[in-house]
Amino acid sequence: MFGLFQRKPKETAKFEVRFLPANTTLQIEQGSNLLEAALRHGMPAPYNCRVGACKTCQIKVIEGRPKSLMEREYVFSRQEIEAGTYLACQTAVHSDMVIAWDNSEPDGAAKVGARLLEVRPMTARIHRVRLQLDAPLSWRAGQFARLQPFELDITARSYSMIAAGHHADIVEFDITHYPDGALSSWIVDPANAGKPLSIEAPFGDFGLDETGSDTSLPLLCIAGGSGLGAIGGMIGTCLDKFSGSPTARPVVLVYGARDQKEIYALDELQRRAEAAQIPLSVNVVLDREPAGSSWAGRRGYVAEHLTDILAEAARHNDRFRLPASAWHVLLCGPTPLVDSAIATLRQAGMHPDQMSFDKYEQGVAATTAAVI
Amino acid sequence: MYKYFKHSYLTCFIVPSAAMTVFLAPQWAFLVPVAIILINALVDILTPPDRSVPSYSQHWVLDSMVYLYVPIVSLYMFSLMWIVSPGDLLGLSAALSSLVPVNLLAIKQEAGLGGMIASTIAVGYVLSSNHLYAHELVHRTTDKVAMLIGRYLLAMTGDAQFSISHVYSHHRNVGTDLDSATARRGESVYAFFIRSSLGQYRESWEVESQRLANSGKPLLSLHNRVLTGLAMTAAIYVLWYLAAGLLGVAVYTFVIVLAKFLFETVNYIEHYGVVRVPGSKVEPRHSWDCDSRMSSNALLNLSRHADHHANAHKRYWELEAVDTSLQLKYGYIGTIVVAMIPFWWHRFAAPQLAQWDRNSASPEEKILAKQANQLSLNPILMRGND
Ligand SMILES: Cc1cc2nc3c(=O)[nH]c(=O)nc-3n(C[C@H](O)[C@H](O)[C@H](O)COP(=O)(O)OP(=O)(O)OC[C@H]3O[C@@H](n4cnc5c(N)ncnc54)[C@H](O)[C@@H]3O)c2cc1C
Ligand code: FES
Repeated sequence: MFGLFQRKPKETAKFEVRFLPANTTLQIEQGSNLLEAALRHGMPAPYNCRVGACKTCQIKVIEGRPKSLMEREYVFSRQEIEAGTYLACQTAVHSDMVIAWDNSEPDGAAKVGARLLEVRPMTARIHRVRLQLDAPLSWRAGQFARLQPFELDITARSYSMIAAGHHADIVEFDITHYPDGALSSWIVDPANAGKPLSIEAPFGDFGLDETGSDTSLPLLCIAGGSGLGAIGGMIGTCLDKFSGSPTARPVVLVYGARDQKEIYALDELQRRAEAAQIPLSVNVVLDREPAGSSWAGRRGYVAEHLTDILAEAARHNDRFRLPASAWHVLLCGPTPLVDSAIATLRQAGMHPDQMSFDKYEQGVAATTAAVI
Repeated sequence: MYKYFKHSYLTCFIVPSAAMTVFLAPQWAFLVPVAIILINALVDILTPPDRSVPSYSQHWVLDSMVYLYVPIVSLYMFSLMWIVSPGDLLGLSAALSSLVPVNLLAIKQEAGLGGMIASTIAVGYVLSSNHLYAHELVHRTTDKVAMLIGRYLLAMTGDAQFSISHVYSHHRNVGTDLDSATARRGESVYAFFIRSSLGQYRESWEVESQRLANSGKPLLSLHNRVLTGLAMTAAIYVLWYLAAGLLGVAVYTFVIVLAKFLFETVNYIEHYGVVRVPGSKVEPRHSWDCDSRMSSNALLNLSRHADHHANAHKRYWELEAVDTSLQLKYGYIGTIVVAMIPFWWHRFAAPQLAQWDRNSASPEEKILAKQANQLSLNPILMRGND
C-alpha cells in the first residue's frame, strides 16, 4: 500500500508483447500498464477515458496472462471475458503476450443492443438520429445497419450510417419520417429517447473504394432525401482526408428533394469544402416545390438535369472538364431516383463499374452489388 | 522538503483544529467554516498561482496524507456525535479529565443548543472534503484497501455510490447529456444538486446491474455495491442513534446533506455548461480549470481538473494546471461562494462559455453549445447565439 521499500531500483523483468494486426513487438517491463507502454513506444493505440469506462482501448489477448486492473465485468459480458477481451488502459503486463487491437476491419455483421440517444430535426421530415451502442462496432461510411426497436413487432429496417466508425459506440443516421411508417415514426419521436433497440451492422459495400484508383479524378454524388446523410458523410471524409491538397478529388453533389424546406446540411458541406480548398459544386433539384414560389433553381427529377449539371460544372472549373469515363459516381436514396439517374448516366457513356449505390428500397436489405 | 507537505493542510491542520474547536469551544465552531473560507480565499487571491508539478521519490508520504485523513476525520465526526449525545459518551470527558485539567462535559453543557448547532454546521462543512480524499482512492480500482477506505469515507456522507458512477459513468460521459454530474447551461447549483445527486444513484445502479448480470450474480444481494454502500451508511446511522437517539439521526442527516451539497457545488463548477459529442475524445477543454495556490494544495489538485479528465491515470501529485478558456479565477472556495448566488454565477460563467464556444469548441460542439444556450433560457447565454 505505501510502497515504503520502493527506493532500491530493482532489476525488473521484461516481456515481449506482440501487437496484431500491425505485428509489431515491444519489450515491456513487468507490471507496466499496457496502454501507457504502447503509447510510450509511439504505437497508435486508441484510447479515451483511461479509467476503464469507455472501451475505446479494447483488445483481445490471444496469448499470455495479463492482469486486469479492474473487474472486467463492469464493461464486458461473460462471453467477451471468456474470449479474452481486455481494456488496454486497465491491463498490466505479467508475461509474454500476443494481443490484437480490436479496431481492425470488421469481418462480418454483429448484432448488439443499443439505446435511442438523440433525435435532431434537420428538416420537417428528415431527422438525425443518434444511437448509443452497448458494444462498439466498426463500419465504413455508406454501409448500412438493420434496426429493430424492442417494443415494435416488425421486421428490421435498413438505414445508412453517416460517417465511418472505428470501434465506435455512437452511430448516426438521417431518417425520413413517414407518418404511417412503423419504424421511422417510432425512431423520430423524442418520447422514445432512451428506449432499447437492436442494431445489426455493418452491411453492404456501398462507398468509395479508393484502392488502386486515381484520387484526383472527380466524384459525382447523387443523394435523394435522407440519402444526403450517408453521401454527406462520405464527402466529409474525403474533405478531411485530402484537405488542402491541390489534387484532391473535386466533387459535384446533386441533391434531389421535394421542396425548399427539405434542403439541409448543404451550407455546412460547402463551408467545409471551402476550408479544405476542395472544389465542391452543389446542385439542388426539387420535384414538388409549389409553382410560382421563390425557388429560382432546378425543378423536376434529378435524372432530367444530370447532363446539364455536369456540363455546367465543367464550364466553371477545369477539373470537372473530363470524359465520362473519368468519373466515379455514388448514388444513395429512394429507388426511383437511383434507378433513373443510373439510366441517364449510362446513356451519357458511364460504365456500371464506375458507380456505387444504395437504394432505399422498402423492406429489402442487401442491394448494393453493381449488377445493373 | 516542503513539497511533501503542500497537500497536508486538511489532514494535519484544518481537520484536527476543527475537531479541537468542537470539543473545546463548541459554541464557536461556526467559525470553522468562516475561517476556512477566509484563509482559502485570501491565500488564493493574494498569492501567485501555483502551477508547479514537483517530482517526488517518496510516494508513500503523499499517500499517507490521504490515508491519515481517515482516522482524523472519523474522530472529527465522533466529536459531533459526542456533543449531540446526552451525557459523557464512552466516558470520554471523565477519562480525559484524569489526564489533563479540562472538563469537556462542563464545556458542552455550557455551550448548550448553540454549541450543538454550531458544531453541526462545522462538521457538515468539513465533511464535504471526504469526497475529495475518497476521489483519489476510488480511482485506484486495483487496490482493494484503497477502494474500501474510499467507500467508507463516501458512506460517511451517504454517497458510497460515487465510487461507481464517478469512474464508470462520469469519466465516460462527461460533458454530454448522459452525465448527471455535468451541470447544464442555465441550471442553478440548487437544481443541479437535486438532479445530479439522484442521477448519480441511477447511473451507479445501472452500472452495477450490468456488472452483476455479467458476473452472473443476483442484483439484490450483498454483491451489489450500491446496496453495500447504503448499508455502510445505515450502520453509521445506527451508531448515531445509539449515541444520541433521534436527535442524533436528525443531526447526522443534516451533516450528510450539507456535505453532499457542498461537494456537488464543486461538481457544478468543474464542468458547468461544457458540451461534448458522446464518444468523442475527452480533452482538457471539457473541464473548468483552476491554478490558485490554496485550491490545488489543500484540495489534492482536484482543481487541476482538466488534466484529471484528459489523463485520468495520473495520481494527484502528477496533475498539471492547464490553460483552457474556462478558468475559475477566484479559486475553488471563492468560486463556490459565487456559484451559490446564481445571479453572480451566470455573470461569471457566461462570458467564458461564450469564449469557449468561439475559440475552443469543435464544429459539432458549436452546434451543441448553441442548442444548450437556447435551452438555458438564460438571456446572457442566449444573446451569445445571435
Ligand atoms: C440499404 C437501405 C438503406 C436505407 N437507408 C435509409 C436511410 O439512411 N434513411 C432513411 O430514411 N431510410 C433508409 N432506408 C429506407 C428504410 O429502410 C425504410 O424502408 C423506411 O424508413 C420506412 O420504414 P417504416 O418502418 O417507417 O415504414 P413502413 O412501416 O415499412 O411503411 C409504411 C408506409 O411508408 C411508406 N414508405 C415506406 N418507405 C418508403 C420509401 N422509401 N419511400 C416512400 N414511401 C415509403 C410506404 O408506402 C407505406 O405506406 C434504407 C433502405 C435500404 C434498403
Ligand atoms: S481508454 Fe476508456 S476504457 Fe480504456
